[in-house]
Amino acid sequence: MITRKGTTVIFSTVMLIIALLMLFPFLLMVVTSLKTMGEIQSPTFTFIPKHWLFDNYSVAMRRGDWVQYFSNSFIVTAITVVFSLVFNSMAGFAFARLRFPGRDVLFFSVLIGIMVPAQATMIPTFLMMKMFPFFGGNDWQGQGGFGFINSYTGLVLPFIAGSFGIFLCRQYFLNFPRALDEAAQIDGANVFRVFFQIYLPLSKPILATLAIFKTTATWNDYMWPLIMTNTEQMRTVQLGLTIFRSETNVEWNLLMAATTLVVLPLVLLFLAAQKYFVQGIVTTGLK
Amino acid sequence: MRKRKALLTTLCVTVLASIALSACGNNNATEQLNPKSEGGRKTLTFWRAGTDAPEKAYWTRVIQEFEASHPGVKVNYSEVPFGNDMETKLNAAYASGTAPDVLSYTLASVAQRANLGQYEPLDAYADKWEGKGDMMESVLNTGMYKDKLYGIGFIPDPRVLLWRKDLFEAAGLDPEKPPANWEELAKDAELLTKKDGNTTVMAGLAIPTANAWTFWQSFVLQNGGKIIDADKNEPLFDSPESIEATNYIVDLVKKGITIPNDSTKANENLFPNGKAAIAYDSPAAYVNTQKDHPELAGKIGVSGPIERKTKATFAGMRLLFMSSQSKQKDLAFDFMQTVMSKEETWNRYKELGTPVVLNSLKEDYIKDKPDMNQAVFDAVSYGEGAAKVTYSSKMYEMISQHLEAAFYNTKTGEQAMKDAAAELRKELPNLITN
Repeated sequence: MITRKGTTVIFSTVMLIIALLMLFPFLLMVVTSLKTMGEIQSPTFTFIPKHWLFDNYSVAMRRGDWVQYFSNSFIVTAITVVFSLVFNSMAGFAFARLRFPGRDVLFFSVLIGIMVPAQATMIPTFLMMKMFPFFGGNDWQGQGGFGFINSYTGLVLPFIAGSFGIFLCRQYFLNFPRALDEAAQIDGANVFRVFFQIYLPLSKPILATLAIFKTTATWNDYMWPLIMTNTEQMRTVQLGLTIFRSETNVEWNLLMAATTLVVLPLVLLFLAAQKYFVQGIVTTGLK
Repeated sequence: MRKRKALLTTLCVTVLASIALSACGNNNATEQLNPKSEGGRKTLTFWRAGTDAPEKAYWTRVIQEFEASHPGVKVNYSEVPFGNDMETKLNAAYASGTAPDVLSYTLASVAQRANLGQYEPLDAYADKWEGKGDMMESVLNTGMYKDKLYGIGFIPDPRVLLWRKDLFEAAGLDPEKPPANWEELAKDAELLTKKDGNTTVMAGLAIPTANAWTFWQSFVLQNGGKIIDADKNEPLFDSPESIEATNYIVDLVKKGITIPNDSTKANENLFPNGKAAIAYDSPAAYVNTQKDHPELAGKIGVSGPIERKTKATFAGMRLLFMSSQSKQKDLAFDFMQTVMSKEETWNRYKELGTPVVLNSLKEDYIKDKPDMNQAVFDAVSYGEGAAKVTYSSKMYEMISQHLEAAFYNTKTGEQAMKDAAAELRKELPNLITN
C-alpha cells in the first residue's frame, strides 16, 4: 500500500520531470546561443558547448539598432497593456454587472470576435488604419495620406480592446456577490465609483493575468508590426530577429543569443506576477 | 446631476485616451511615407525581399549615393523576409494603395502579380535605356511575361555542382575530377555515402526529400524535358524525359545516398552543414560553407551542372519591379537604371558575391575567380527558373508532394509524375486567373 508520503514523492517526481521537459527548449536556446556555427552544424550533437562563445551576444546586439527595437517594443507593449486593462475591465464590468437593453446581443457579438481568426481580420483592420480620417495626411474621408501606417498608434490602436480580455474580465466580475453592488448603491455610490473604488481594488489577480496575456501577445506579435511598419526606426524586437535569417542561411547562434535577450523581459514579468497570474486563472475557470 | 457627472467623466476619459494615442503616434515616421508632407521633396519607396545584414549594407550605400546624385530625392528603404511574410505585406500594401515604387522580389512573383496588374510593364522605359543591350539574354528573358518586360533580373541564384575534395580523396576518387555524367554521379555518390547501420550520416549527394522541385527541375531540364507549356496550360512533366529523370532521382534516394531534408529550411541544407559530399546548390551555399567551416578552405570544388541531353540547371532570380501604383515612375526607373549600371553591378559582385548579369563584365568576372566564376557564369547563361504561370507555386507543391511519395516507396517515379500531372490538369480550371 502506497503511503501518503510516497504518493507525494511520486507526484513531485513526475511534476519535476514535466517541468524539466518544459525547460529543455529554453536551455537548448541558451546553450545554442553560446556555440559556434560549426558546432551547431556538426553531425555529432553536443549539448554543452565545446567553446563558450559569450561574444555571440555582443555580436548579435551590434547587428541592427537593438536599442531602437527594444524601445519600440517597450513603448508599444506598455501603452497597449495600460489601455487594454482600462477598456477591457470597464467593458467586462458593464457586461457582468449592469443591465441595459441589448446587453446579451452585444455580448454575443463580442464573443464572435474570439471565434474569428486574427488573420481573417488583418487586411480589413489594416485598411481601417490606413484610412483613419484626419490623421497621417488623410482628409475627412480617409483619403490622401497614410493614416496610422508606420506609427505607434497603428501598432497600438487595434489591440487596446478585445473579445478575450472582455470575456475574461466579465467572468471574473460575475463571481462577485450582487449584495456588494446593492450596499454601495444604498451608500450613494454611482456606477463609476462602484467600479473604481470597489471592484477594481479587488481585481488585482484578473488584471495581472490580463496584463501578462496582453504583454506576451503584444511583445511577441510579429505579423501586425510586419505589415504596419515600413522603416527601421519603427521595427519591434520580433522584426529585429529576422536580420539573422537570409534566403539561404540562418545564423542560429546569433539568432538564439538575440532571442534569449528578447524573451528575458517576459520571463521577469511572469516571475514577478506569478502569484496573481495563478489566482486569476483559477478564479476565472480558464485552463 | 449624477448622470451629468458620469457623462463628464466618460468624456474626460475619452478625450484623455485620444490625446494619449495621438501623442504616441510617431508623426515623423508617417511623414517619411508621405511625399506631400515633405515640402515638395520627392520620396521614392523601395522594398526588398530579405533581411540579411550584408545586403542591407549594400542597399544603404546605393541609396546614399543615389540621393547624393539626385538632390531633393529621398529613398525610403524597407526590408521584408522572403516567403509568406512578403506576400502578406505586399497584399496589404496593394489593397490599401501603399505599394512601394520599386520592389526587389523573386521570379516566382512575376506571373501572378503581373497578371493582377500590380507590376508595371517596363518596355517603354527599357526601350530608351542604353544598358538593355548589355544584359545577358537569359537574364533579360526572366523578366518577360506574355511578351512584356515586367522585371529586370539583377541577382541570379543558379545551381552549380559543389563537391568536397577532402571527401573525394578519402574515398579514393580524384579530388579534381567531379562526376561528368549521370552514371558517374550515381557511382560517386554511392561511394561517398557513409552510413551508421541503416542511417545515412554523410550524404553522397544532397537530394532534398521535401520540397524537392528545384533539384528535380535541374535533372528534368538536363534530360531534355520541359515543365509546362505556359501558352496552352499543359503540364509536360509526365513526358518520358521527365519520368526518366524522376526515376533516376528516386532510385538514388531509395539507395539511401541522402539524408532526409527540406529544401525550404535553411537549417536542413546538407552541404553548408557539412553533411553532404556533392550537391547542386547556389554559389551562396559555397560562400556560407567556407564562412562557417574555415577548415574547408580550398577543399570545395565548383563546376557547372552535369550535361546529359542538354546543358541546363535551375536558376532562381531576383528582379527589380516597378509598382503600377507608383506616382513617380520615371524616378523609379531612374533608380532601377542606377542599380543595373555596369559600375553598380560590379560593386554588387564585390560586396555581395552575386553573379554579374552584364555581358561586358564577363571577362573581368571570370578572371577574378576562374575556379568558380566560369561555372557560375555558365549556369546563369543556360539556367531556367520557376515556370512563369500564375499557378506555379501550386504546381510545384503538387510535384514535390508526389515526389515525396515516390521517395518513401508509396509509388514509382513514373506514377508520381503521372499522378501529379493528372492532379494539375484536374485543378487547372480553378487555378488559372486571367
